[in-house]
Amino acid sequence: MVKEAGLRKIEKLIFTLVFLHLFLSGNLVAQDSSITVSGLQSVLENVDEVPGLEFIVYFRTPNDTTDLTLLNLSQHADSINFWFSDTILLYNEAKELNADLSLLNKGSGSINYLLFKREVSESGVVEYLDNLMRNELFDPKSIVDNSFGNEGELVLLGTNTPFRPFYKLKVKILSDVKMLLLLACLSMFLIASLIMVLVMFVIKSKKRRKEVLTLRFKNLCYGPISDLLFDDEPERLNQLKKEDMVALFPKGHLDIDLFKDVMIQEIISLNKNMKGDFKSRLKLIYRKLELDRHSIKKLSLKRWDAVTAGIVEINEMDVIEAVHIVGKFTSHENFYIRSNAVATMLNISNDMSLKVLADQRYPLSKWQQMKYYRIIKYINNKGILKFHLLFESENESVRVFGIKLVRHLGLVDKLSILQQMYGTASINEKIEILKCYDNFNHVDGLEDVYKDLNTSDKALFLNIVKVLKNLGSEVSQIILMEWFKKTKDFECRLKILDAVNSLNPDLIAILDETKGDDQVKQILAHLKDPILSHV
Amino acid sequence: MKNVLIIEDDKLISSLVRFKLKKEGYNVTITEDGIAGIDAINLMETDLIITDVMIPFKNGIEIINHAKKVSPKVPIIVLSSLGEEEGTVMEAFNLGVSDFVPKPFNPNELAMRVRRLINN
Repeated sequence: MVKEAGLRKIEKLIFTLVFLHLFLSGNLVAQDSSITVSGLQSVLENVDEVPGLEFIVYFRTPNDTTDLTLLNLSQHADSINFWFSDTILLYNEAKELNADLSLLNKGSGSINYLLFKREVSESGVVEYLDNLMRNELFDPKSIVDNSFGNEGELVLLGTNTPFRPFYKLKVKILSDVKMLLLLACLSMFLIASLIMVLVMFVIKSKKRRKEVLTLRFKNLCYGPISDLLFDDEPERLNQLKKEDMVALFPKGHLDIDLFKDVMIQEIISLNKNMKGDFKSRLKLIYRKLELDRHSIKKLSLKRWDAVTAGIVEINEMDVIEAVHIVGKFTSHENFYIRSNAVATMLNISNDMSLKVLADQRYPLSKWQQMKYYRIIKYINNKGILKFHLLFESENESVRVFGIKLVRHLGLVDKLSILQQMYGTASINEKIEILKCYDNFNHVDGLEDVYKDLNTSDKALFLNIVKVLKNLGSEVSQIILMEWFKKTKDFECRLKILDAVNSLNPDLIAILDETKGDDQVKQILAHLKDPILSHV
Repeated sequence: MKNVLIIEDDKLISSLVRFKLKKEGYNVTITEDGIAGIDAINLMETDLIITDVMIPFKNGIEIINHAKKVSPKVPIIVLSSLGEEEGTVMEAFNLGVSDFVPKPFNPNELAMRVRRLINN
């Protein structure tokens, strides 16, 4: 009983293993190969030459007398009625030969397979073809299912299948992402270039048109302006109404902004080149034609150049009523707007305290200082300006500018204020104050100056030495000689000895006798040299 | 009618001067650059020349030089900014110009000087 049960178990196990083997092997074949042994012939019938695969036909005749040499068959050496063909490249040719032999000679023939001249079985050929397919050397798509014997059935089946073109119109470039990105970038670049060229063209043509119109308007201005300026009766200009004046110009032109701009520019240009009562006549023309309104209107525009132009026009034509509007621009972040607004306020506001300048938050550039200096110099002749606000300004550059004004405008009465300022002044202010002392021979200020010889700022030190050279006393000589011993810097020592030489040449003579170090010799040689002593 | 030649690149100034001088009864010709100015001196009969010093293509000094060679008796008035070209103006005086009117100028005053020079 135990033996029987064991045998049954073994039987079940064997049965299971065999079943699994068969099932799995079948599956594997189905997965790996699209060609089976049974389907091999139909595959071979539908393909051309397969590389490495050849065929040979064997034929056995019913009797010994049959001669098949005429059909290019060879007789086997061991058997008289056994014949074989040459190697054939196409299966169909081999099949046809076999069929012909069977029909003519009533014998039995077979087609055998040769792989690289070696005879193999059908399964060997299937395996070989699978290998070729895996390596893409044999295209299974080219195999046409020839199971449809009837051509009509094939056509019928074809009509049921939706049409899908074998060669799709698909550009390989379009499937490449990098290439697509590159094409997109190039397209963007091209489009951007085209847009830019277009914009440039439009801007250029607008500019060109503006230039042409400006020239035309200029030519139209000359006549009426000359008529108004050189009227035989100057008083008549005062009596003229706007309408009478507008009538002198081409109809409707004074409504065009560009024409007004050209008119204003021409009037300003003439105002600069003319003198005498012509200046007041030009201003009268400007106002009577209400061009001042046009200038004020520009202040509300967004473009900084238009606003600046408006401010300049108001300044040149003395449009005093626009002062409160211009005042809003004195702290503007734009340099040109701010500079011109301050200049205009200084020029036409009649504010003698220079508050607009003292309240400046931005540092003053040299260009601005030059511009403001010219205006202040001009208005200083008209009335007494109060400079103290400049000295009290929170802006260092304004304080420095105020000190510069003292020197350039010859404001000697302000030296006492500068002397008071000196103690708490910055390096730049001190340098400017020293220049003032030097300029006006202000000896009283020297007391505070000596302390600053301790400074680490070389420019300040050299300026102090320069002032002492011109204004110094015997005390100055002693202090300078002490500093000569302390300092090692060549330029400082040179300037000190130069100053001492200027104050008391005898001291230098003593130094010359004692002959100090090489640097001293060098400096003394420098001071004695008639050419170098001025350098 | 006396002929006055103006050599000035600022069209507005030259137009105004012409307007004023025409009113005074002169025949006025304007050229805007040095080359045209020299051509005008060569071709037309001029009684007085008014020239700027800084003009395109030819220096004012070259024009004065040329005018003095071609017609030495024709009076020349230099109309220019003194501050900008002081050396050139001094050179112009040395060449024998009759008068100098600095910019900014009064057109009435200029017309008066023209009248005086032409009448002399």
